[in-house]
Amino acid sequence: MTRVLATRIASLVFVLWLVTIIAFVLIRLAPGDPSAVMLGSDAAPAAVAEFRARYGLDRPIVVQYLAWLGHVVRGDLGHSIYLGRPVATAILERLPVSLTLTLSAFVIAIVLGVTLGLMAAYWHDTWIDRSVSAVAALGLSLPSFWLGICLIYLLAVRWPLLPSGGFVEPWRDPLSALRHLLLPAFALGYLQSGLIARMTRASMLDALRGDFVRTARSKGVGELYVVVKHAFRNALIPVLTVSGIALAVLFGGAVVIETVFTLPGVGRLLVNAVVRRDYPVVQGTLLLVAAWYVVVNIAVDVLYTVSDPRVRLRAS
Amino acid sequence: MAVAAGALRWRGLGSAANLALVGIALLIGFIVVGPHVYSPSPTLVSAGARLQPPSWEHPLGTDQLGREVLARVMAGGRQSLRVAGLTMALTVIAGSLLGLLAGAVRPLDNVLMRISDAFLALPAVILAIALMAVREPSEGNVVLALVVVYTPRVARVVRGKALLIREMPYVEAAHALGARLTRVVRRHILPNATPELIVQGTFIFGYAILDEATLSFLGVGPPPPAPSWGNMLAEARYLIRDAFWISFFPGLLIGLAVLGANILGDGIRDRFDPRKGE
Amino acid sequence: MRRVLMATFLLVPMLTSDAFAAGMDKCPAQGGTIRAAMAGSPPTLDFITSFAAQARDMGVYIYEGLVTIDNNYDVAPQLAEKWAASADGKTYTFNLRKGVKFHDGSPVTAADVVASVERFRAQSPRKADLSMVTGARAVDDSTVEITLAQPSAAFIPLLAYPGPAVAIMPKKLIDDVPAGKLPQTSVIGTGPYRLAEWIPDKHVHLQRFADYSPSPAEASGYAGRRLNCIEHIYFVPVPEVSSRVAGVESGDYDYGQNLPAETYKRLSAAKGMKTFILKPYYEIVMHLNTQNGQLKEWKLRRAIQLGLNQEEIMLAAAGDKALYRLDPSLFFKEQFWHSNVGANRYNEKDVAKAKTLIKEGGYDGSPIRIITSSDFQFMNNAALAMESQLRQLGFATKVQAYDYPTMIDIFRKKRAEWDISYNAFSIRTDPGGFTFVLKSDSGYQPYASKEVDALLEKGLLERDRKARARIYEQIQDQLYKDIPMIKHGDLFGFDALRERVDGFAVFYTTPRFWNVSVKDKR
Repeated sequence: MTRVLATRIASLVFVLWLVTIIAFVLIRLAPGDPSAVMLGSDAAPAAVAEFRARYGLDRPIVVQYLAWLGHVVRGDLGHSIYLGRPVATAILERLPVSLTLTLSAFVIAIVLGVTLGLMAAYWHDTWIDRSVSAVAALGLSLPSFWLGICLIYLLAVRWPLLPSGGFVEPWRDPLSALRHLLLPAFALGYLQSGLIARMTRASMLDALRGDFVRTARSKGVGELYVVVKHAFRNALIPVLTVSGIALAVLFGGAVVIETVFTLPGVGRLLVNAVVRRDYPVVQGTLLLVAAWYVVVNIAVDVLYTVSDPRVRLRAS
Repeated sequence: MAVAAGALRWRGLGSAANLALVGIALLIGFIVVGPHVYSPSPTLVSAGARLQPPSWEHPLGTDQLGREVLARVMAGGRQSLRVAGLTMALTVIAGSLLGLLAGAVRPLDNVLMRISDAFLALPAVILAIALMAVREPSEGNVVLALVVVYTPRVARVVRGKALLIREMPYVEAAHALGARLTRVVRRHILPNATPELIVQGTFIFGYAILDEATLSFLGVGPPPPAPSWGNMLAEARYLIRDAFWISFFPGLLIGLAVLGANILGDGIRDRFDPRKGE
Repeated sequence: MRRVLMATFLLVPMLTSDAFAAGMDKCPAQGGTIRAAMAGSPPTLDFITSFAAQARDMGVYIYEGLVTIDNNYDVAPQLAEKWAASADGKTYTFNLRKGVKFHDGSPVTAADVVASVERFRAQSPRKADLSMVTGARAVDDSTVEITLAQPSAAFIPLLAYPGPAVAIMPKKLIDDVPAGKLPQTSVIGTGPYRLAEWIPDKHVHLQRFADYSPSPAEASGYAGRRLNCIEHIYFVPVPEVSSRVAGVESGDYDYGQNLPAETYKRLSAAKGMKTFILKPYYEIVMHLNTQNGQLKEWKLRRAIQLGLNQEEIMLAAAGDKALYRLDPSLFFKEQFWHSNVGANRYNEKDVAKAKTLIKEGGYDGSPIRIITSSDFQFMNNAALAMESQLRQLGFATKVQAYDYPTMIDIFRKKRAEWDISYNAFSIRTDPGGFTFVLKSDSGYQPYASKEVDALLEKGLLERDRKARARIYEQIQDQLYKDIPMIKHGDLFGFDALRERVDGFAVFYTTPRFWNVSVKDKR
């Protein structure tokens, strides 16, 4: 199994490398370059030429790429043109925000999603099932920014219970941090919970109908015990897969929430960098976000094999 | 194609999905027929009539430039559904092609899947924004961006099915009897993959409507003055409190359309795979 | 012998009273924090290299110049306590105030002033405004001499113009620093607040500069006695409009910049808040492409000028009747330079005549391409309202909205791609400020007119104020005849402030948090 895992990791590193190429090329395809953003359109051609030379933008793209890659392997993600600080610093400044948001949203998504899914499965084909499924489906149908703005209006303006945005570090003021996090994490998490609820319901239904559950029931074992011990554990695997996808993808989905709630996170860093053609930031951040995605996928794969030894990890 | 045809035989998809199908049909009807019945222009600016709440004269009110919301909702529906429909169709085609290639032709599998993984690792929103930066914002380019984002996902699913079918004994037998690859694909893989493709297609239809709204929010959606549900929602988002009707109705329709697509997708999936496996 | 030409500007009485505690000698209360929700962030810390309003609005706290503007947009002293021109008008001598320190404690000397002026002339995009300057030198530690190629009445006002200001910085920190390469630690000025921290897209944190030496005169505009009573100021960029409004309403921020017109009535009536109208703010204009495309044909431009209903457009752009006014002039009503010459061609609303002219002009039916910016809601709305009217007149149209830098890029460099381009002019405190926009050799817009060029040059040299005004009237008239631009009207902005802040008044586009205090100790 370890050999199979190693192959998987190797192929994922290859994927990461492909990501760097895509990121590098894509951002350079967009018209305009950082000189237009930094110096404005009134800049003298001499100033523009000097600027481009300074940042190596006048060299052939392959050379630029190899130079950048060389730095990356040595741990240097480069220097942001717009922000005037190392890319790594810019990301680190924003990482606490993104991580806190992503993880809290993920927790909400799991809690909400699994609860709804279990309820729907246990009381399947009743009104509970239908209404719970509707709530979950609604989460998948609403634009995230829409949900965010409505929440802000209802809970921060109409009834000023919570702050309208901004971020407070959890270690500085835990209570205030929690209050600031509640709305954005919920908006982000609710949307993901729909998918998790659907998966949970499906696999729970499968498990509940399975042979060993019937056997347990016929042995006279308590209902709750049956549900929790047997069904749930079997339902875990597909739920884990979907959760893994949700977690891996949350960084990107956070962009919109970060904008609506004015959270200075990695998502906004990335979007602003694309608009400003801040090449080093786009390349470095995309690399990191893709790496996160890859790591989460590997973790899910490992958990997958650990939790169900019957499953063989296929190198595909 | 026998399996697909059998599905369409009207055994019904379950009450919820049936309802969703009817709902979507009604929506499309409303959008296509509506403008012929209701004539005000969706883009005529009339500053004097701005921000009117729904009334007899303006059933859904007017927006911040005095434009008729009902007219815009109908015109916007056209654009949003067009974007979603095109995205769905193109993604299904491209995804199937890639997936079949990967599943049926072994040496291509690794390369294609690695590339598609690379695209999957990039956050969808960022990829879409970067693509829109490369080309100017327009309806066609939004479709292009969404197709690039979703094709890897569909390709993955189709490839999975293709691999599965390829291992089946009767296919191997057919192969041993000298059947050409294309025949195997046509007679065995494609029919088996089709139901899942339809399901994915409906989900993508729903996601595309949402994504168009998100791209409009971020400023890179289809440009004004032509309305789409997404850009109506995005333009009036700061008016939720003062003029809720401008964003409420497009938002409602987005929610209904996507909800309908999701329920429909679920229904179709239930129909073909009662065990509801992934 | 030098005849002292004292700036008569100093003696002009203040026409509007500053609601500020203009006579404030000391702060009623010290300390406190203000959090301001701004529409955007400054694009760079090297403020002299940016035209952006955010750079100006924050730069004014950190930096000061030799001269600046007062409540009437006229020149007022700042770091220079007096100045005089030589008899031939080609040499200006500035005497610096004594005892002024930089944020790092070093004293301000003439050498610093010279280095700052030279850097501005080399690196700033506004350097064309100082094109008449031939050199600057330090006569002694507190006297600076600036020489001009020819006498110019526009020199001092353009020196005082704050966008971007000719900021005085320490020589040792700016020598040989190219544009865009100024590190955060070098952002050192003489202003009442120093830069404590800048985290891009998160906040700009300013802290009170304890050793600040305020000007002796009464506070007015950006000038005079600016007391730094507040200890910490946070400028937080909240580009999402709905969040900005929500933030001020809920009290998360004390100040909300540039709020949407639709919220004006509600916020003005809300408890705990005050709203301020920023007047003047922008004039909304559209450039017509006189060199490429269909609008080369004067008759078509005249048809557009004839047919537009500016009232409709301004209402759509401004969003509330209280937030705009119709006005034909290049200059704002509040300015000495305002004039109604040419106004007979403003807002004529003659649709029938316009339609006839369109036929005569040989319009071929292909779409008129309009570019505007989605970054500014008013610009976007004006474009859409105007475009709707063009279609009523019988034109086919195509509107494209871009982010502002891209739009400017297309406007300046891709002349074949647009017919109408939107723009907004903020106040030019001196009419010379329009030289860059209108002169053919600047290449700013496609329009080129020998008559206007000649008038612009005369305007920079003429020293009599009334004569200058007449020159700019002629320019305005010519613009109404040639129609390279059409003005829609004057737009006002509005900001909201929470009541915990005392003594506040708006000026220009900048929230002034000097000479204010907060009621609680947050």
